[in-house]
Amino acid sequence: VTEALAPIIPLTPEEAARLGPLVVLERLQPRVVSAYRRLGTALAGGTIEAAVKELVRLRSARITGCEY
Amino acid sequence: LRADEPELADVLRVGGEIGASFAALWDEVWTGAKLEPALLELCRLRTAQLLRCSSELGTRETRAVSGLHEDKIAALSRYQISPLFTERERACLAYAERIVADPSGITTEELTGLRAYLSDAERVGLTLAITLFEGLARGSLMLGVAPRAGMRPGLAGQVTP
Repeated sequence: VTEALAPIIPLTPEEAARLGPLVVLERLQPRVVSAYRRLGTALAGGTIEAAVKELVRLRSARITGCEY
Repeated sequence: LRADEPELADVLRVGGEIGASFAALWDEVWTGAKLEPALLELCRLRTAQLLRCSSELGTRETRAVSGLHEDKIAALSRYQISPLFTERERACLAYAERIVADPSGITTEELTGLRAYLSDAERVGLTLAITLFEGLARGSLMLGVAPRAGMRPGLAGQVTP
């Protein structure tokens, strides 16, 4: 979690690093984040190999500039 | 699945559990994020404009219709100068543009500016909603979803029997 994100999730970078951003987001938007989690679980299943999905996820994060 | 311009619901059904979970998440954002549906609809449509996603541009979310006139939608690309938009709407639309075009370039000043108009929970809800809108628009483009004009009363009901 970068310092620039602090205004969106109202924590210091240290607090966010300790709690994890998903925990913080879930506190603020429990219903939506819960639905996001269910989608994540579904995406983790399926027929595409986990390693391929992880490579795609990491490549997408790199292109977007998301260090987390 | 029809090879030429399938309907969105067809695509989601083919996706099985992933499609069903996406549809459920989509519906949850409109009620669970605690933001006005009309504001979310403006951000959804602005995202679709930026990505030139005709299938999303032709669709109107039923739950947002009562708070949003077509004249305002027609002025959406000029939201920064049109008197039809509030400062709060302008801030949210600028944020949507930033998420779509250059999310890693967002500045602390821009984020702090949103505080004037949105609570902590609203800022998080708007962020999750816009990223979902962007995902559907991009996915619809890549999967060749058919352009259509009309109301969308939700997705989960179309995907699961």
